[in-house]
Amino acid sequence: MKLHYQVDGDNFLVAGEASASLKRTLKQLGIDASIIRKISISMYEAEMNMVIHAYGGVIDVELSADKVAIILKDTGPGIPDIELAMKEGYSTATHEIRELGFGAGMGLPNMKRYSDYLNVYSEVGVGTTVEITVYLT
Amino acid sequence: MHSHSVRLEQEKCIGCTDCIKRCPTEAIRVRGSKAKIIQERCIDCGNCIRICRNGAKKAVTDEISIIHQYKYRIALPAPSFYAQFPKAKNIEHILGTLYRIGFTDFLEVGCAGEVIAKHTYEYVENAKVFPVISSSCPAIVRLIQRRFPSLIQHVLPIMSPMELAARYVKKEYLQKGIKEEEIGVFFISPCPAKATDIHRPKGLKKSYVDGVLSMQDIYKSMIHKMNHEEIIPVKRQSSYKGLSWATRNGGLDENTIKSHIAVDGMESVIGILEKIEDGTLSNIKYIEALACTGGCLGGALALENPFVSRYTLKKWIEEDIAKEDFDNTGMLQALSEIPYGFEKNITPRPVFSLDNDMEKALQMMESIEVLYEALPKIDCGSCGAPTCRCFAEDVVRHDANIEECVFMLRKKIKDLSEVMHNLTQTVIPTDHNKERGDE
Ligand SMILES: Nc1ncnc2c1ncn2[C@@H]1O[C@H](COP(=O)(O)OP(=O)(O)OP(=O)(O)O)[C@@H](O)[C@H]1O
Ligand code: SF4
Ligand SMILES: [Mg+2]
Repeated sequence: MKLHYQVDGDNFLVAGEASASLKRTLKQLGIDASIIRKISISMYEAEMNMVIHAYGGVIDVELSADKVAIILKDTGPGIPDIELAMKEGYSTATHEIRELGFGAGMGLPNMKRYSDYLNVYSEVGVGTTVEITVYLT
Repeated sequence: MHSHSVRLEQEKCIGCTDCIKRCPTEAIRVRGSKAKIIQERCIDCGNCIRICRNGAKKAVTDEISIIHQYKYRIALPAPSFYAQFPKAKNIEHILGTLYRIGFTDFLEVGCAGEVIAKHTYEYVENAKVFPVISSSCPAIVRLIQRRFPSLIQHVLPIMSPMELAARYVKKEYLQKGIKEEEIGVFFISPCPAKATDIHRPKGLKKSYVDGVLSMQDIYKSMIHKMNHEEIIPVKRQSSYKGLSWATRNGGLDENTIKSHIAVDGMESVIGILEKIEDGTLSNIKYIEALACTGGCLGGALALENPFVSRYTLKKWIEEDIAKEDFDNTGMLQALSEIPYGFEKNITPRPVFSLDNDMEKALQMMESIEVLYEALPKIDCGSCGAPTCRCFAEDVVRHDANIEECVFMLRKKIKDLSEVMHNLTQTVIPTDHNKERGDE
């Protein structure tokens, strides 16, 4: 089954809505609570990055009996050095963003930690694509 | 045996959509112009009782008369109960009046609260999963089992002050050589959730409370007896610390547990639980979550406005702080000796799950998505479900028919009438035609 979400770039109020909606769906599918947790945390971080660092984008989720595959695509500024961005504590978040409680530089490391497969593909000036897969069995 | 403490009074229900919209677990539907509670979803929070303008939802508690089945009748009044009597001279005045309505003794739940706060502090200090979520509000524990099963491991495995108080009372009386069947312990409750909790206690094998009485009922029988000439002298057991349990922070001030959040009101609690699930609150150590706005002061069985109640309690807390000779350390010591931990695990109750078989659940989910797209998405409620989404789920689960949506019905009628109209346009061979054909 496929799900599609549009993520608004400059609306902090509804940021996290796609993750919340997917979480609800996963609960209804009777997926194990600890796995839902892995998916929720990874997707929430990725969605927030899309809102904070890019200008929003689209999320496609493919649900099957054995895995949940999430692809988040934005046309934001891109990440010049992915290896560096993956480091715990690395963040380019502005002062204002930090005031809102983001910018600890823990998003990407958490995605790595909670997902079974993570691929970040980015081109400066073009955009970023994040692929997250979590296995259900 | 009770399963739930929120019931519908059929004849009062007019089938409006007020309650279905406000239920945090989407447990109510309107069917045949009457609300219907889906039992396994209900968490007894009492939201629907508060919201219903016709008083069609009722909290089921025990009748006061049941106390007379026992020779020794011990009341367990909580601080939220004191707050219902803003005109009382003091707390002693309220406690003394309990004797006039038939109780033979009481134990202030507040002092058990003081001890539970201490146990909680120790538990949180050594916890491994953060944030720890308080378990004192049974509606929240039930909510977590149903809507947030992944958070069960966060729930504080410590009994409520009510249970600790009941256990202490039973132990004391038994030690005096009194027979168990002669001891009746009764909690004066601000809500239906606590009533359910003694019949199906969470984390405990059995409850030591013999009956739950509605705060409203006790208030009504006590209020006439409050202006008696002489006040029955009583000895207080709880200090101001126990009273502050009810004024929001669960008796935990910033000096005990650092970085904790106190959240009240169902919608706010759900917002916080969502955040914990998303992993964004792991820096917080403890969350005191109460289903009612204003905590137990805002319980569905409270009579007084919760903000007035908070004022009343604050006033008494100040008076209690000023009492220099008050000392309840002996009492607290005795209460500390009672085992307080959970006796069994809290189990998930994933009532939203579509099917145990994942393949089947996926198919159903796909049908829900397709159907939802066809619905008007205005959540009008006339189908009897709280949202269009929820209605789509009901249809796919075979709990509702698609025609129950007025828009879908209208569309169907329009389609049908088009078919009929088209039928009228078709040229049907007439006799005249026939004749001509014959020629
Ligand atoms: N979608 C994106 N587009 C552009 N830059 C990104 C994107 N996602 C991440 N980055 C860059 O990678 C850095 C690290 O991301 P990460 O999510 O680990 O931390 P953060 O978002 O800065 O802080 P936190 O996630 O803890 O709130 C970001 O500061 C940003 O520079
Ligand atoms: S907050 Fe208090 S009154 Fe309200 S449901 Fe929970 S325990 Fe009952
Ligand atoms: Mg981030």
